[in-house]
Parts: sequence; C-alpha cells; structure tokens
Amino acid sequence: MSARRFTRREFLKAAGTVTAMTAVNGLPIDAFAATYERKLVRFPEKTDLILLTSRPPQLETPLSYFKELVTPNEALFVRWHITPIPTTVDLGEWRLTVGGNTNKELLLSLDDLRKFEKVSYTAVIQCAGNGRSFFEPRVPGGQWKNGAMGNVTWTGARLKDILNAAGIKAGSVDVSFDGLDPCRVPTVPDFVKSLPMDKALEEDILVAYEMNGGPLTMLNGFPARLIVPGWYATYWVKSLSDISVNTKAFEGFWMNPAYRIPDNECGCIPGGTKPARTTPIHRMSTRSLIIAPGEGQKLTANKPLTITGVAFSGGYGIKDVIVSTDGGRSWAKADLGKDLGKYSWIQFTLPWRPAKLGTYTLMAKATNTIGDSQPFEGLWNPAGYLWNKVEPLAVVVN
Amino acid sequence: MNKTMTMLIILAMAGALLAVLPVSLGAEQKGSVRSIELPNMPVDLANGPDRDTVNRFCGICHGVEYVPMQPRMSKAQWSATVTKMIKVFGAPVPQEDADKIIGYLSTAYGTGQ
Repeated sequence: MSARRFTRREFLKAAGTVTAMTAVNGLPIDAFAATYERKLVRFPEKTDLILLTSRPPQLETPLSYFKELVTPNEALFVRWHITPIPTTVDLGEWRLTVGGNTNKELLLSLDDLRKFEKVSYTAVIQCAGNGRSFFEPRVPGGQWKNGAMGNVTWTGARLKDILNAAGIKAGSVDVSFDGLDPCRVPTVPDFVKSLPMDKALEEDILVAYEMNGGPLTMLNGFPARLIVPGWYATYWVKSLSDISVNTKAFEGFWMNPAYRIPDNECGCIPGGTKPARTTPIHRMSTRSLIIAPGEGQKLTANKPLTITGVAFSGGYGIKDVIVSTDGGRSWAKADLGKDLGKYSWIQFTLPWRPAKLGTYTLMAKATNTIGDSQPFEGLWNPAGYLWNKVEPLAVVVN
Repeated sequence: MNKTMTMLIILAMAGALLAVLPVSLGAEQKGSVRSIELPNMPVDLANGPDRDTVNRFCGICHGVEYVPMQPRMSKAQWSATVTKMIKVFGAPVPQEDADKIIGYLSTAYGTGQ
C-alpha cells in the first residue's frame, strides 16, 4: 500500500471535496467532474445538501456534518426510488394498517403508535449504495460519494409490540412493509420490503415517529418509518402505510431482483463479472471515514492538529480504529469518543503533528467487536453496494 | 477590548452568519395536514436528436438528472440500462422509442464505443 500512488480519480475526488467546503447555494462544488456537477440545493425542512436528483429527491450530506456525533435532521441524506413521492400527509386520515395473517387487523393513528412503549436509541442509517461512485469498474445507479449516511436518535414503538398487538397466527414466514409513495405507472413495482419473521420480532426494530426528538422530516419518511438498526436503509421503509404478516415468502421486485449482492461471504466478485447466485443485502459492513482534516487540505508543518472521523459496523459496535499518516506503513490506535451504543457510530481522534513538508496519505481502519474490518482494495459487486474500503486521503503540509 | 466592542463584534458576526445561512424552508401545517412543496429544478440535457423522447419517457419515473450523473457508458451499456428500465422496472416505453433513447444516450453521454 505504501508505494501506491493516487489515481487521477482519487485526486479529482480530493479536489472536489475541498471545493465542497467553500461552495455556496447552487454553485458547482465539483468543478473537475467530467460529466456532471454536484451542486448544493435547498429542499423543504433541509439545509443545503448535495443534489443527485430532484425527482425523486436524492440528496447527499456534505461531509462536514459528520464532525458531529449526531446528524441534524436538516442535514440527513434523502433517498427515494420513484417519482412522485408523498408530500402531503393528513394525520387525521393517516392510519398504519397492520394485518395479513394476524388475529385482527389494526388501524393505528400516530396517537395510537405513541401509546406503545416508547423506545429510543441512536443508529446509523446508511444507503446500500453509499460510496457507489468509487467503484472501479464504475457501475450505473445513484453516484453517491460518502454522504448517504448519518447517525440519528430514533424514537418509536417496537415492531414486535405492534405485531403482537395484532396477534401473529401460526404459519407466518415474513412481514412486508409498504409506504405512502404512490406508484402512478401500473407496470412499475411499488416499493415494498420484507423481513423474515424472526428478524421482524427482534427487540430493536422500531416503527419510529421521531428523529432527534422531533417529527420525521417529510423527506425522511413522515409520519413514521421502519428502523432496522445494523441493516442497510433499504429496509427502513419511509412513510409507512401497511404492515402485512405473510404465510408465503414475500418476493416483490424490491427484494428480488433489486437490492441483492453476490451470495458469498464478501458479497463481492471480480470487477465486471456477473454473480452465479445472489442474496438480499442486509447487514452493513464495518467502515470508517476520516472527516478532518479534509481531503486535499493544506496543513502547516509542526502545527499540532487532531485527525477525527467516524466508525461503525452493522450493529456490533466498534472495537478499535487504527490510523496511519504514512500511507499504511505504520499505524496508531485512535482514541474512541462517547459510546452511544452498538448501532451508533463512534467518533475517533488521533493527535498529530506533521514534522516534514510534503504530501501525507492518511488512512483509518476500523474493526468491530466480532473482528470484521475493512479491505484495502474496494470489493466489487454489480449494483455498487457494501462499499467499505480503507480510503486513502491526501493532505499537503507546507 | 472593552465589553461594548466585544458585544458589537459578536452581533456583527451573528448578523453575517444569518445572512450567509438562508432560513430552512419548512413544512406547512394546516390543522392535521402537513405538507411540503418540492422545488422545481429543470435539467437541460445535452443537445441532440431525440432528446425530447428521453425527457418524455425517462422523466415518468425519475428526473433526467440521472443521465448526466452516470459514468460515461458504451452503447452496449446504455442499451442494457434502458432494457433494465423497461424489462425490470416496468417503464412503459415502446421499442421504437427505446431505440431512439439508446441512440441519444450513447451519443450525448457515451464513450464513443
């Protein structure tokens, strides 16, 4: 690794990130991009976020927000699949229907949801395709960098309690979840996801009606969404409308063929090839990201600074994070910050005083409590999921 | 520095901050109804024959921003993508228009292959 030089793409990425920090509303922040410009835009209940698409809204969080342990609601990324999306909800009319293979059908208002025991924890929400734009060979799809993630305190009712209130009948195999997103073309599949029965009954799965103590923003799934901590956000169905207990495995489009990875331990195959078998994506890979200094940032020799970043894993918590300032030749253990539990990300810090002039390559590598870590080379799959490579980050000391 | 001076500087800084950070657009609440209005962000695709066909069909399910966001792709790759939209996602695009769309994409956003 130490001898490895930056590719042109990595340089462009670095240049783009630096520009991003000084960008203002509506101006291009990635002047080097060959085919499109990432610009900052303002959507309702949101701060300036990086535009991927406006219909449906897909908005990425600028990295500077990840200096905070908890991501503010207005800065959390947005990802919808098909236009149009729900933009109006009448809570007088809205009911969460819980039915299927149950003793009774429930029609829960938001007030009814609040009557269940209230549960709260902080969990990373991350799009399965976060980091897709770094894949080589490139893959089509939403070209996210690292900002399709965030760390949010979610509050709601346990899915288990709701299902038990409806009464799960014998012979149930899974539970499917549908949201308010209207599908106006009959041939286009409605966004519905499912969880196996045993997963659905896990203690920590929530129907959340609050994020960071406030209502969900409309773009993040008002009035209530599913929270499946440790699993990629594709399961976290927004603006929930229906929960159905099924006697036959749900096999809708968004479970198969969408959101699948090669059916092997790494979920990866050689670049540009096709997998023999696939399986639904679920648990998040372990990953870390250096947030400060920023990529390409100019530093002063002998001036002390702190390397900071975030690390998380698919619900196992982080055991340690090691940091290198010399492109991976030597490593030091970083200090870990406040522990908000196994689903939250943890901040890491390493004091550093670069003595010599020149370009330094910083790296961070996290390991979770069951020993999963991060690869030095990107693992490839055709849909661009599970990105968790140890990212080299160049800074210049002068 | 005296207290008044410090206060003035703080006020000036706060003012500057407010000027830089536009107020976040909220959601509208009328009784039990909460709603937002999505901003319009028109996208101009590169000039070329059949651009209108691309706007018309691709825009049914998603904004055409999806096009320039993609890596440059060969005609075979664009063809696979358009076919996926039709066969997998169920996009209602007649074959004749699909061919026009593939032609436009591989010319305006292609690799030349």
